[in-house]
Amino acid sequence: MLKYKGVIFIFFFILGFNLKPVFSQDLTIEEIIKRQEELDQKEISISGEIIGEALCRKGGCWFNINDGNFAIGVWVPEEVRFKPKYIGSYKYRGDKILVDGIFNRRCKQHLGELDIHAKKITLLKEGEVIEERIDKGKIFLSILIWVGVCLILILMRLSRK
Amino acid sequence: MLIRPNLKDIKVILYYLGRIIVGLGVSFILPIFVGIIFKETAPLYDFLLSSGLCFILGLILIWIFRIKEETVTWMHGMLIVSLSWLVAMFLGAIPLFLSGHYQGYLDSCFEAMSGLATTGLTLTKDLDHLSFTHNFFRHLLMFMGGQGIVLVFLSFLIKTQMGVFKIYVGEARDEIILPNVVSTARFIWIVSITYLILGTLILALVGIKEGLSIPQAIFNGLCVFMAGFDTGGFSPHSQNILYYHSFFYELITIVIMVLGTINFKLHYSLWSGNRKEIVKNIEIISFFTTVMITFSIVILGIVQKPFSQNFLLYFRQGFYQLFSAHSGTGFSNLYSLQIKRWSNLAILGLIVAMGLGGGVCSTTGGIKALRIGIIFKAIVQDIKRILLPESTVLVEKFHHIKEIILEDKHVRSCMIITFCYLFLYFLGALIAVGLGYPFLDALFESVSASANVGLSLGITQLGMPSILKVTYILQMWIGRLEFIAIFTLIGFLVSIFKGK
Repeated sequence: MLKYKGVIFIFFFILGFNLKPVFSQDLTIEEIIKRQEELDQKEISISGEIIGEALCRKGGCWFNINDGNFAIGVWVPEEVRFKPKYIGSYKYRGDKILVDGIFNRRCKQHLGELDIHAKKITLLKEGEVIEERIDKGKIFLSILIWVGVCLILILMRLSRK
Repeated sequence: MLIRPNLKDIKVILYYLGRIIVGLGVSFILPIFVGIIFKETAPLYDFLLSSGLCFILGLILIWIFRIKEETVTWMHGMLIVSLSWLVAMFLGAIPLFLSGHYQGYLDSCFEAMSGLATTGLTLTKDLDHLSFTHNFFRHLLMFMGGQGIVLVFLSFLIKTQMGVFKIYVGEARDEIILPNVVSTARFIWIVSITYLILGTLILALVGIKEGLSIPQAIFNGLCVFMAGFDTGGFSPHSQNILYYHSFFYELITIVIMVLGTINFKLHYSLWSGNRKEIVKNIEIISFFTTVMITFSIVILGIVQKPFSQNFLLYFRQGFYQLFSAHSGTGFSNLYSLQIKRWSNLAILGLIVAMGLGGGVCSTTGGIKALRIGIIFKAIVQDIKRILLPESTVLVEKFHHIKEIILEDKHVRSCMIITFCYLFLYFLGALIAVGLGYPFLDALFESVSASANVGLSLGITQLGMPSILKVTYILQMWIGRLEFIAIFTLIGFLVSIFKGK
């Protein structure tokens, strides 16, 4: 009987402190937007590449995370302490991270934005420098075309005379 | 009876086309400087190559079809404009295609036309990894298209005033601000460049305050200003204005959109100290009224809780989307998926706002506020005519810079353009419905393309059917040039085969 009491106590303990169900599975941003009412104020996880720049303001930084299809703003409070090594742009493939946090359909702190407030960030894959590949064909063609431009200009000048 | 065009007509058109193409080639060099600043190498070759191609094509046309006297008729003017925009699209698509961020050349053409026509619908793959050079070019296309690409180049290249005037009208600008077109074009440029410097500076400062680094703040400020003032709606980021997470940044873009929506003639009045014009002008009154009406419709459609509780939220989301739609910009601080979840009434409000547009002789698309105002005045006049005794002589006036007596010719021209827009909106919607899209989504996207807005409910994406991409390209082109130049081109093509 004592064993059952223990189980019942644990059940109510969990229920009391965590009334909202937890959606800890890795969701896509599209799914989050589509299921925004259902997921509002709940803990969710998303993964994606950090893109753009970290927009740091009082109390934390905004990171925009792109999952390959959509991008979403993740508010990272100072206490989470996260510093990415690479942020996605033309020259860099940004760090791929896993964000665990609270999804807000209409965030009260950020004037109604749809956002995620990060609780924990895990680095899944470090970003890298994207090597610029310069197509030799383009260089050759560019030179050829500009030589052509010069020739036409010379011919035009000669024909005027 | 149709008269078959002669060789001289074709020579005049192709000669000017050549000059415009050379002008395009010059403009393609500008992104190279951006590339150098941001130390990008590969994109430079895309622009060197495309610019060179423009020079070769343009110079050949100038050389072969050289004309001694600059005799531009109305037909020439209209054809130069309509063909130039198509050629600019095909040439502007080359560096975009070479970036590797487009599924094919058709998508690059779509992007180029969307930029030039200041629409803002985009088919860029992985925009967040696009080079600064190419990203700047997308916004530059908007800036050039907003001012009128043909006017941009010809106002500095042509000697004869009459020729430029016919081209000026062809680019959907039916008002001259100063006594001649060249000084009008130069005034438009002075206004645009002044605002460009001020707008970029303000956006950059706010950007720095909101956490952007200085180079990024300047780059973003420049791009967002060009897209906002020219009511285009491109953004350097896939999230559009959402990227900045800043209400203050959004407020500034609203001011920029307002500036872009105002008729350049009104800008001139205000610059000359005639501030009373702002409260008297029929265009401003009409625009303000329709903004309020459509905003009320949108708010009715999205309000779920008592209004007072969420006023700032409704303003931030509802008004921003509405004003962006009405001004023909297409900036968005919501995901298309969020707008799609709005009620049909709210979406309908946005569709109406997009369809109406901003001021004539501005950078907006759509039917335009002046036409709406004049049509409304004509309806009021007709009602008065019925109610008043038959012997009454009724004179209706409207104020647009000066007092103008409302005449049938004004109403007729406004009605024709309005009818053409409505037809274009529904034709595009019909094609999308035929391809299996729901009617409201199809109408939304069609109006967005035709009125050069750029908001989307998600139809415009990489996987959409090619036929719809072509449809939207044509709608953006026709909508931007306001029909007459396109009708002339169709007539010209018919007369080649059927003329005598």
